[in-house]
Amino acid sequence: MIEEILTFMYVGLMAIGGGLVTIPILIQTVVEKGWITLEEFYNIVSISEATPGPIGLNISTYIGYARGGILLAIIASISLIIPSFIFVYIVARAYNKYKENKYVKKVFKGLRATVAGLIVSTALGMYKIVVFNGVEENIEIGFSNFYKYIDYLSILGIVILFALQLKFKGNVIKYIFIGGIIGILFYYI
Amino acid sequence: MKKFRELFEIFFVFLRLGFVSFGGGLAIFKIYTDELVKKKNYLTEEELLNFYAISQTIPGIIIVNVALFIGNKKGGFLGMLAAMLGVITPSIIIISIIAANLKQFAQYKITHAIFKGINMSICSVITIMSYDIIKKNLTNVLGWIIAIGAFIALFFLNIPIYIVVLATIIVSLLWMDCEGE
Repeated sequence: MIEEILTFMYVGLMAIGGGLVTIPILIQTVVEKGWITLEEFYNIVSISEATPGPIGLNISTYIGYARGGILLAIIASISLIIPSFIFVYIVARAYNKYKENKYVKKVFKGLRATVAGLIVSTALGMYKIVVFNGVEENIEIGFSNFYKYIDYLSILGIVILFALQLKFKGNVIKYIFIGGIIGILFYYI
Repeated sequence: MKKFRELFEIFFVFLRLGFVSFGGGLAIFKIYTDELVKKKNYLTEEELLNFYAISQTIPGIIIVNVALFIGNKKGGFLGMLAAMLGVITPSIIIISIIAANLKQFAQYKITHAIFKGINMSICSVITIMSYDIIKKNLTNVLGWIIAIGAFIALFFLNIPIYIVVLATIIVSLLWMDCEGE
C-alpha cells in the first residue's frame, strides 16, 4: 500500500500543466510497473473522459480501483491530491497576503490575458477533435487532405447547441446533457 | 457548529458539482463560474481566473487545484479538506459502479455517441466562454499581445504552459499598466 501511495503522490507532483500531462506520467509509472496493461489503460482513459469529474483524477481513481477495490481507489485519489494540497496551501497564504500589492496585481492582470489565450487554444483543440474524424487515431490532417475527414454532422450539432445557448442562456450543465442526447440521436440511432 | 455547517456546505457544493462535471477541466471551470461565482458568490470571476492561472503552475490536476483554492478561501485549511473530499467522492462512487463493466462500457457504441455529443456541447460552451473572458480581461494593448502570444505559443508551438506563465510574469512585471484599477 505504501508503494501505491508514493506512486500516486509522484504522479500528482509531476503533473504540471494539465490533464494531458498526467497520461504519459501514468504510463511511465503504473503501466511499467505492470499494474495494468497499456490496453486497459487506454480503456480507462476513454471511460474517464466520458464520466463526470476531472479526467486525471478519474484515471487515477480507476487504476486504484482496478488494483485493490474501493479502498485503493480512495487511497489513489487522495495520494494524487496531497502534493497539490501542500502547494495550494502555501501559495494561497502568499496570495492572500500580497494580492493588493501593485506588482502582484500587474502579474495577475497579465496572467488573466494568458488564460484567455489558453482557453482559445483549448477550444480550437477541442474543435479539431470533434469536427475531424480520425484525430484520435493520430491520422495526420493537413491542408491537402482535411476535407476528407470533416464530420459535417458534428458541425450541425455544434451550431444547434450554440444557437440554443445564445437564445436560452442558463446553466452550462443543461447544455452538456443536451449535447449527450444529440450525440445519441446523431451517432447511435 | 456554525463552522461545521460551513464546511459541510463546501463539501456538498463540490460533491454536487462533481456528479455533473462532464467534459474535463475547462467545462468544469465554466460550471464553477456559473455556480460558485454567479449563484453562490463564493468568489469573484476575476479571482476565479487568478486561481485558474496560478493552478497551471502548481503540481496536480488544474481544476482540483482551483477547487482547493476556493476551499481555502471559504474555510482555510479545513475548507481545503472539505473541498478535496467533495471533489473525490463522486469520482470514487461513479467509478466503483462502472468498474465492474469496464471493458463493455468502453466498447459500447452508445458511450462514444454520448461522448461525441458532450464534446460538441463543450465546443459551443468554450466558444461563448472565450468571448466573455476576452471581453472582460483584455482591456489594453499589452493584454492583447500577451493573449495572442500565449495562444500562438500553446496552439502552434506546443510550448509547455508553465513556460508561457513564466514569460507572462516577466512581461507583466516590466510593462503591464494597472492604472485606474
